[in-house]
Order: sequence, then C-alpha cells, then structure tokens
Amino acid sequence: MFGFNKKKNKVEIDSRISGLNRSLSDYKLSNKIEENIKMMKEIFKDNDNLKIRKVINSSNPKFFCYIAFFNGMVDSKIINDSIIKPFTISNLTDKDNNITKISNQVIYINELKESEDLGKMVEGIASGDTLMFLDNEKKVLILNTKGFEHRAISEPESEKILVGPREGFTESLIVNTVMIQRKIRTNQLKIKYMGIGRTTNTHVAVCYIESVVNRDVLNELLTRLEGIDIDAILDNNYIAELIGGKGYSPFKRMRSTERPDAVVGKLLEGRVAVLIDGSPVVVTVPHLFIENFQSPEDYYVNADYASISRIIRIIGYFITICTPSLYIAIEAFHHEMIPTPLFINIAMERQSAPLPAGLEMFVMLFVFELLKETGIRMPGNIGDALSIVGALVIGQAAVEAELVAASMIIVIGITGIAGLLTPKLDSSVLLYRFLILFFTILIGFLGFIIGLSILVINILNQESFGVLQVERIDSIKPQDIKDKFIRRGWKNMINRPGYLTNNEIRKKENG
Amino acid sequence: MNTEIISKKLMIATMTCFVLGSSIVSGGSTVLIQDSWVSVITGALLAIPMVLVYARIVKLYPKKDIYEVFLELFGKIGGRIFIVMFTWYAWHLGALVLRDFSEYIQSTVKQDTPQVIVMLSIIVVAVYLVRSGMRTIGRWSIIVLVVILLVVITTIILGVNNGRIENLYPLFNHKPLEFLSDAFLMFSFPYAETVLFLTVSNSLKKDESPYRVFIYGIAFGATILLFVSLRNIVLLGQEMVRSSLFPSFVAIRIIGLGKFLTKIEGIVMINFILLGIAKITITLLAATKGVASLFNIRNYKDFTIPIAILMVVLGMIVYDNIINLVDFLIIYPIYAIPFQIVIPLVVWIFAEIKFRKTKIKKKGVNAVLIKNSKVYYKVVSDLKI
Repeated sequence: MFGFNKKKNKVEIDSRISGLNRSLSDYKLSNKIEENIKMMKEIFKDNDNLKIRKVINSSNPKFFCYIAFFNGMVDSKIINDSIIKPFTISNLTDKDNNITKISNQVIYINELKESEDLGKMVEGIASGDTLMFLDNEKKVLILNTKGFEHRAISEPESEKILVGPREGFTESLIVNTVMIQRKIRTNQLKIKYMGIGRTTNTHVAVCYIESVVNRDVLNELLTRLEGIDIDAILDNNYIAELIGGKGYSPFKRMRSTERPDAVVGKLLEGRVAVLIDGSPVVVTVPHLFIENFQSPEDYYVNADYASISRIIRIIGYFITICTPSLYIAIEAFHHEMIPTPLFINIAMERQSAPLPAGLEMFVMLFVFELLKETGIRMPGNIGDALSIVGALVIGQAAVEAELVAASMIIVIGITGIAGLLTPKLDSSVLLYRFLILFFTILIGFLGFIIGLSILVINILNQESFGVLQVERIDSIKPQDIKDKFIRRGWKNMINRPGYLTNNEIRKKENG
Repeated sequence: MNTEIISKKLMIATMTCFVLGSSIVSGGSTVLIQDSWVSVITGALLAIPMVLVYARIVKLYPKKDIYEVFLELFGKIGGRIFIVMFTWYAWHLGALVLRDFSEYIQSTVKQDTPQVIVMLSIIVVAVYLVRSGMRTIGRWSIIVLVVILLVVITTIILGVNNGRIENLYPLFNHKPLEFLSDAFLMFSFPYAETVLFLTVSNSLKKDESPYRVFIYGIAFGATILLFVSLRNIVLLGQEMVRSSLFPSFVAIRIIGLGKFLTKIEGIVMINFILLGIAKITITLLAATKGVASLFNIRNYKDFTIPIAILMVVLGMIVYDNIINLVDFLIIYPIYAIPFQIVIPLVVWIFAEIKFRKTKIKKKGVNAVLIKNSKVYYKVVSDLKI
C-alpha cells in the first residue's frame, strides 16, 4: 500500500517538475486578448505578486485593455495617473483601437516598447515594467513604471575617508550609473547593459570613457562577460571570481570599491568599470598591484602626505607578513644579528615558555586570527567585550602565567596592527605569513628569503585582463612612477599610465 | 599575453644574475690572491670570442632553441646524442650549484638541518620560476640585480674605513702561466657557462641583437665581480683570502656600522641565495627543455618537478664532502671543454655551412627569376613594337 502511495507521489512530483520545466518557447501570443491573459497567468503560476487589471474606456465601454504588473516593483502613481487615467477618459473610437495610436496619443509614459517577444515581456515585468494587452493585437506594450524602495545614498562603511566626497553606491543599478554620469558630463561616457545569470537575469552595466579606454582590455572583458554561464549573480565577487583569470590566486584581479569618486578616477585613467544590480560594490579592470595600496583620499590631501602614507602602507604589508618569521629566524637561528644584551633579555624571557618559539608563534597567530574573526562576526556591543577579554587574557595573563614570552606578544601586536593597513590584501597576507613562517622554522633565515621570493614571484606572475599587475619593472621613466609608490602634485602628472589607455596625454605640459 | 618572450633588457639581467651566480660569494677565484681581480677581467676577455659564437648561433636560428638546432643539423639520432650531452651538462651543473649552495649554508650558519631540506627548499623556488615562464624569470632577475647592487654598494661604502689599499700590492706578482690558467678557470666558471642561454634563446624578442645580450651580460657580471673581488682583497688582506673558502662572507663579517649593526654577514646570505636561485633556475630550465625535446614533447613544464627532484638527488650523491667539491672545481674547466667550446663550435660551423648553402640556392633562384623577367620584358617590348 505504501509502495503504491510512493509511486503516486512520484508521478505527482514528476508532473509538477515538468510543469516547472515548461519553457517560454512553449507559449505563443495570440490575437485574442483573453487567451493572452490566461497564458500570462499560466506563466506566472503560483506567484501571487502578479496583478492583472482590466481597464475600460468610459466613453466607449467596448474599448478596454488589460494591464499586468508586479506589486511593489512598480510606481503606483505612474500607473494610476499616466496609464489608467488617460485610457479611461480618452475619447477613442473603435478604429483608434490600435497599438501605435494608444502608445502615441493616449498614455503618458516616457519609455515604452512594442514587443511580441515573450522573453522580453517576462524580463520587463520582472524588473518592474507594466505590460499592456490590447484586444485584437498580437503585440504587447512594455511600459516603464519601475519604482521600488532602495537604500538612500550614504557614506560607505568600509571605505571611510576624512576629506573628500562622502557619497557611496547603493544597491540600485540605475542610481549607481547616475552617480557616475553626474561626475563625467560628456558624450564620451558609455554605459552598456547586459543580462547575466540564467535564473536571476541580473542586469550588469559595463562603463567606460571611449576616448581613453584600452580597447584590448574592453574586448577581453566583454568576451569574458559573455562567456559566463551560471544560474545566479548576486554580488560583484561572483563576476570577479568567474572572469578574473586562469588558476588560483591569493591576489585580487579586479579592484572593488563602493565610492563613485574612486570609480570615476579609474575610468579617467582608461579602465573599465562593471556595475551590478543589487550590489553596492563596483569593480574596475585592469587591476594593478599598486592599487591595493592606493586610497581615493590620497588625491584629496597634500601630495607629500599622501606619498608618505602610501609608502607606510607598502611597508606595513611586508611588516605584517615578515615580522613573525623574522623574529623566529633571529631568535632561533641567527642570534648574532642582534646586539648581545638584547638577545640575553629575550632568551631569559623564553626560558620559562613551555613551547618552542616556532610552535608558539603558530599558536599565537592562530589565536589572533580567531579573535579577529570573532570580532568581525560579533554584534557591535559584544565586540568591545571581546577585545578586552582578548587583550587581558591573551596578553597580560598569558605572559604572567609564563605560558608565552612577552616579546612574542609584541611581535603579534605589530603583525596585527600592520595587517589592518591593507584590508584588500588580506587573503595573501594570511597565506604568505604562514608559508614564510613554515620555511623559516625549517631552515632559518634562508627559509625566510625563500618564502619571500615565492611571494615576489607570485606577485610578478599576476595578470589582470592581459595587463601585468606589476608592469614596466625595467622602466625608469619618471612619468611611469609618478602615481605609484608616491603621488606627485597634479601639476606634475602629465600622462595617464600609458599601458592602460590609448590616449596618454592627461593635460597640456604647461596647462 | 605570451609568458615566454622577453625583452633584451630582461635577458641581460637574467644573464648577469647567472654569471654572478655562486661566484659572488667567493669573489672570483682565489688562486692568485691579491691579483685575482686580474683574472676576472682576463677571463671575461677570453670569453668574449666564444660568446660571440653563441650569439651567432642564436642569430642564425632566432626562433629555435639549441635542442631544435641539434635536431635540424644532425638528424634525429645524431641530434639526440647532442641533446643528451647538453642535458647532462645542465643537469649536472645544476646539481653542482645546488650542492655548493647547501655546503655554504652548512659551513657558515652551522645548523643541524639536513642538506636535503635546504636543497629541496631552494629547488621549490626554482621550480616555481620555471613553471612561471621565462617572462617571470627575467622580471625576477631585475629585482634580484637591484638587491645585489644595493648590497654590494652598501658593503663597499661601509668597508672603506676598514680597508687597506696596500693589500693589493705587489701587483702582478705571479707567473704568466698562472695568470693564464686562472683566467681559463674564470672563463669556464662562470663566463662560458652562459652557453646554457642557448637553450632559452628562442625567448628573446624578435629583432633584438643576441650579440648585445651576451656581451652586456658578461660585461655587467664581470664589473660587479671585479668590485666584489677588489673589496674582498682590500678588506681581508692576502692571508685571510688564501685561507677562507667563502671570502665574501668573511669580508662582510668585519664590517660594522656603529654599535648596533655589528654583524651583517646575513646580508651576503641574501645575495648568495637569490643569485643561487637564479642560476639553478636556468640550469633546471635547460635540463627540463632538454628532456622534453629528447622525447619530442612540446609542453616542457610538465617535466619540471621530476627533473628538479633528480637534480636534488644528484646533488646529494655527487660529492662526499666539501673538499671533494673544491677538488672538482680544479678539473672543471677541462671537464667543461666539450660543452662550452666543442659543441658550440661544431654547431656553429655546421649551421654556417648550411646557411651559406641555402643562401646560394636562394641566389640561384633569384638569378633565374631575373633572367626570366628580362626575357619577359623583351617579349613585352617586342609586342609593343
């Protein structure tokens, strides 16, 4: 008996799934309006957000239409005032009942399309358009009535700066493109839309300035975007991982930011930006390694100050990777490299610690990562408590209990602080900190250099859309390094970075 | 983007690193004591004619590496014999440098880590570089070269106070034969070892002169070596140079900067490790390419790891101890003659003959064409009349 039930269940599920799998190509628009509406209900079966309403002309009751839209995705005011109202009060005769007449003379909508294509219809209604079905008409009007709630423009939490513009991107694609367009008022700015994702059909905008863009990069980007085959795109990181390039890399191949001013700066250097509906993060390509150390704020403060902070960021990156292994190399292998009194101090502290220095470093680094990760996941108030517990327990108590040497705590502290300087390089910091530490524990200073070499080779290997991330390494042309490790004043930045753009001259020599 | 083609600049940097290789630690040969800097120059001068032969081979076959040239000139079997010989040379040289390297670490740092671990760690970097391609090797060499220059210049400046220029005297106080033999030693180790660059010659960008690459590579390497050997002699004096196995290490040991930076010999270790990696990388690349072309396989990178492991194994068993190694260095010039002089000369002569023949053939065809066109012109002009 149960077996029979199971079989019946299976058949039911099968039929349901086959219903699900019924694709759009099985449906066809017809001349009869009632059939079209029935088909519409069939296509969006089990989605109660779909609203279908009959609108009848007041002077001529035989003259009517159907409108269909998704509740909440449309601006009701537009539908009421610009579609239903004019249609109801207009004085139309029977022979005026054709699609061109209505779209031209009756309704007040800024952007509309006639279409027979079911795919376009479904895409339109799902993104907030209203469909208008007319009697004896095979074509359908797709009317732009998009209007939905989105977050207000605010300063991005992760990229706060002291001076400079405070606006940040939102989750709405159209608002984001407008933010870019407001800053570049020229016909050279190009914004191209495409839909990606078999199920989500997410809108993706590719944005560039035609006169300066690097064509090779643009072509490469477009081909890679067209090659994407995935069911859903929910954030920019989906795209970055899918089209970033071959193989595994701990480094980013695309720069991501939430700041419109940063994106505009990149566009003006000849890069291409990719915006995605539903994500406030915008990526720009190609991505150079040095960009990890640059901040939009660098361009709003004094040039010398910006140069120094850039150099500090670069040093910080290497400090956070190297300090633990350098400490181990000197402490356990090369005592002679530091003055003897200092070494005696360290050695006396280490005497009571139970673990060998290398193992102790591993444990402490792990505990530090643990604290960091917990701190990020905690709700705001508990985070403070956690940091106190971490500082007290891991710091003072462990030293007083003679479980850990005090110098070790200092090293971990320096490592942790320097690590916060370059949040964009987090994954590579984590990987190489442990890799170099491993080699150092094995063979001392030699291992340290070997680990560092592997890091350097990995950086040199990085490519982003056909452009090397560390480019022109053998060049000593001043224009090439003006906006890299240091930032010169705008008076001195005559060229755009040459390998990114077709049009190098940024400003006239004495302008 | 092609990861194999590199510019002349990068190739020169790679060659300079290769020439400096392990020599920078010993600062050239130490047989002539205070005159050893002379052989740095004379060795380079001796090497230049040979290097021009290498460059000529590259010029004749710009798109092919030496293994493909072997196959083309000497046929499938004859070519393979040459390939085996050349691959052996690269493989053995790599093992030699690797062993030299780990002996150095062992004798200076005096730690208990087994040599095989040291060798494996170094070969890891070499494997990574080879698999990354020639472009990364070249770019990496530039960075290494900058580091080396910084270190050498810093140590020279810091050492000025401790040095005594009298250490160089008496000048030229050796027999001519001694000068000659030492120059030949320098010729074969390291200058003529650049013969291995014939295996990566197809990585040089088109239209770049191979002559310049070889000459500049040797010249830069010799200049840096000259400064290093002068520094060692001036700082250490004759007795110390004679008695130490790695003079650079000892030289830097006596340099100090105030009370804090007193023992900076660790810095030389950076030099040595980076250059050693550069040299091992080229030998590994040459050996890998050789094995791949022996079996006629296009993607040589798949062979890197097995060859690297074999190189470590050979490095382990090639000597019993460091004294053996030093002994071998004395006969090395003779051992290397077939690879550095004979094979390149043979290849060059065969290539030149073949090149001339095809040139004549081409000329012949041209002559016929010119003759024909004259006849054609005559016919046309006749018709016009």
